[in-house]
Amino acid sequence: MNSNPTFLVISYFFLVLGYIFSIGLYEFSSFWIVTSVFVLLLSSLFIKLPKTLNHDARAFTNLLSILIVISIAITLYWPKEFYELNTVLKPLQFYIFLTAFITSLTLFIDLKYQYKKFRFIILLALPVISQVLVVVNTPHPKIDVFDILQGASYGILKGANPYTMTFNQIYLNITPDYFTYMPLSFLINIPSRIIFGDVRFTSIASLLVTCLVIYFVGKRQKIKEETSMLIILLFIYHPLLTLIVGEGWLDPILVALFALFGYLYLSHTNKFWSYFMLALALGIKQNMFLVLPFLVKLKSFNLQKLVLAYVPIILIILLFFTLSPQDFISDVVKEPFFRNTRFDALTFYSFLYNLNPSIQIPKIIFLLPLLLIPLILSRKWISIGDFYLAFAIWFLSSLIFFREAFLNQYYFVSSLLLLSAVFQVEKENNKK
Amino acid sequence: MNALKFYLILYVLILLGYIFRFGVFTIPGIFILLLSLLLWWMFYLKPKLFKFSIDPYLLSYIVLVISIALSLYLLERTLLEPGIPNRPPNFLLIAQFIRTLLAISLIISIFLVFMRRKILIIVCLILFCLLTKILIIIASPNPQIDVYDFVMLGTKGLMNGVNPYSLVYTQMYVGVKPDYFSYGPGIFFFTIPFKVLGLDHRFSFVTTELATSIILLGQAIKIKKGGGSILLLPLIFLFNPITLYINLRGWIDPSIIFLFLLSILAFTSKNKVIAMFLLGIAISIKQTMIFAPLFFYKIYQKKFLLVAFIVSTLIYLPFLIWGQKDFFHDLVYLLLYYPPIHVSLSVNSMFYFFFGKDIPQVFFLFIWISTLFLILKKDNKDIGLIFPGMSLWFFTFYFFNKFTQVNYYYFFNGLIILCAYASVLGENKTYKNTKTRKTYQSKNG
Repeated sequence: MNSNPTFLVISYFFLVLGYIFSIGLYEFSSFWIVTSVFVLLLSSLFIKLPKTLNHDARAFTNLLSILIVISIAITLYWPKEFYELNTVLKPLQFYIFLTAFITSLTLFIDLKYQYKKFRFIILLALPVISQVLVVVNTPHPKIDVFDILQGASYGILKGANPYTMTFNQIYLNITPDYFTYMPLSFLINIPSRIIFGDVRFTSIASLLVTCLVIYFVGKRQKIKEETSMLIILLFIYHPLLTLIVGEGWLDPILVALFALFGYLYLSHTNKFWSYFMLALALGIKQNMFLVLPFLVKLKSFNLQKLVLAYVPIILIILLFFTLSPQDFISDVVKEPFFRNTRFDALTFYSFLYNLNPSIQIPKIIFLLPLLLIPLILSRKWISIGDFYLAFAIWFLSSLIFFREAFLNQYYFVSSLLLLSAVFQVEKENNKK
Repeated sequence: MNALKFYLILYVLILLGYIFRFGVFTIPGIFILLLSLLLWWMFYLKPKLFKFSIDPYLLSYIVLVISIALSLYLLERTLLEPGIPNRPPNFLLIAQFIRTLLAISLIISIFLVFMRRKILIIVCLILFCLLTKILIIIASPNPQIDVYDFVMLGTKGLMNGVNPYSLVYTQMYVGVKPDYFSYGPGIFFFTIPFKVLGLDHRFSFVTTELATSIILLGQAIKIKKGGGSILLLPLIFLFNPITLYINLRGWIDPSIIFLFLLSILAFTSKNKVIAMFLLGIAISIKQTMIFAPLFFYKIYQKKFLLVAFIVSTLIYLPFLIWGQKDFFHDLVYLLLYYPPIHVSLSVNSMFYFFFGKDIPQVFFLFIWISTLFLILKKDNKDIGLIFPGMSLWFFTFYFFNKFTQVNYYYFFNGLIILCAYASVLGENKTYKNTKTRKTYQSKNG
């Protein structure tokens, strides 16, 4: 593959720019930006990158610094994520990010190593503080995702089956009798539900895990410590991350599992544990089975270990299936895959609908991304960085052409691009 | 190239400070702008503190994509601008056309680094942008804003022999008597030719924007050292996300930026009189531009600086004679005694927001004078330093003021583009000097 960390970080930033202003919903501008980035990424599989996009370690750290400052400025200016907050914490949230913005401006100044480290700790701590404050101060965000996760993880402790439960009414005319995720989504949240009383602490912990993984991958691949720190900051200063955590979306957990997969795959010859991370991801969200075809091309792929890793998770899923097959199928398969199309989602379908509401699109169009799988798999790649990129490109295509795609899913794809950049540095080092 | 990179970053930061609310006061916006100003001062006083190792062309590519993406994002809100009561019947079609043009521009800009015939692509993008500007004017035949109204009627009036400073314009805002024409008479040099041709006077500002970008492009091609790195500056200037809003409302700031660019060109080609003549015209458009020639005092003799003041006086004088009272009311009194606007993005609004009262005028005076002396004291003898010094002072001057509107920020962004260009010119000049010195040294042992 022709990609390099510089190209990937720029693509990441453009993609983020595409969906943050519309909060992941449909807007003409968002659709065009996201689609253009998709075409750009897809083209990178076939076209040689121009010299301008060549990777240079020093310039790369500078690029990261610039993008971090811009990201924080947008976060600062874009307070929609705090719409659940109507207390004194609303201005406090602003001042947290203002402090971050002021601190980030020093990224343009060449400081001594110890100051850089101190700055990194401050910059890393601030968004985490912000997320903790949001979680603590919005105990009941009005979104079904949070409600069902919170309810399910509590229900399971009381011996109830989440797939037969009825949750709180959030939206008018929608009976909240669905739990659309896989069983591990509530099982993994049990510790934070017991200790902190809120499932969203798992997301915060997951973000920190991803940061740690990026740090250790950097160390393992002899990336300059400063560069690893900056990648972590770019990851943690996604302009809508506080909203994603605050609403209880599961994607930060998925990103952490994907990051762990890459790290374990690189550092352990026994691939069981790395595959197990992806199996856990499948245990959380059903669409994570889509990653399987992309694993085959990885260097030292081991089918036996892969099967072994997925078996325990499949057994857990089967357990819940056998408890109430009808409810399980209805919630996990029928509800997410066959519910009505959303015209406010950031998809090609919404674009066509906005051009002409009477247009009838054949459902077959949803399957269009499947055609891309052989195309992407036909490219020559074996490294973890390439794996992330290949899956990110394909997943992005599935978001654009599927019936619905929202902020959390676009966040997941953009995080994969960033992970790919971290792991691509290895390839760049080897080249030299 | 360090300065060029700094100005590109500053350009984006300032944009993020005001575009999302179209220059209306917001706490995040004011802090971003305040910190951007501080950053600029730091860079101006201690440029060596900052180190940028990114490729300037790559950085300008990123800035361009951000600009076009934000232009596309802001387009809907620009089109929904409430002050367009008489939309043409084909408004929706025009709007769709503008959207499509911007979307195509976005795609092209994202793939720009992959394309070979860059100049051709840049020219295409300039044409696309020009088309969107023309269309936005066609889509808004009568915007309800005083600037548009008094420039349009003032120009018409002058063509019919009526003094624009004594005219009473259309009532726009409750409690504001529309008996003022707050720009200098120099603006008519730009608007009358278009009125004579029967066109909307806003086309003159679109033309000056286009001319600015074409000159910048020409210079980028011409300059050998560093020219490639400023190849995208004309596009960044044209695709400023707020530019369609500025064109729609008919603000005159593009003409001043154009004059400033011409004066930089005259300066570099050693045409001192023409450089000052152009600044004189700028003063005759906007009174506050009177400070601009001061920044050249270290390199130009007094007689040259006087050219600017003589030119502007000659343009102002007939109107002063024509109606002394109206002239002073519109151009001096209003400027000095216009009440503060608390919804504007200025330091005063920030102070008002936190403390419920205005900053005393004497504080502003102190800031203006002290910063002016600070900049003038610095040993600026190169265009790469003079122009940024002047731009920085104008930013400080307007920011520490009773009000700072969206067009002022557009003006600052334009100045920053010119600063980026001037910095490359400055480095190019230094390069030539070094080479000459080396040749001289080798010749003389």
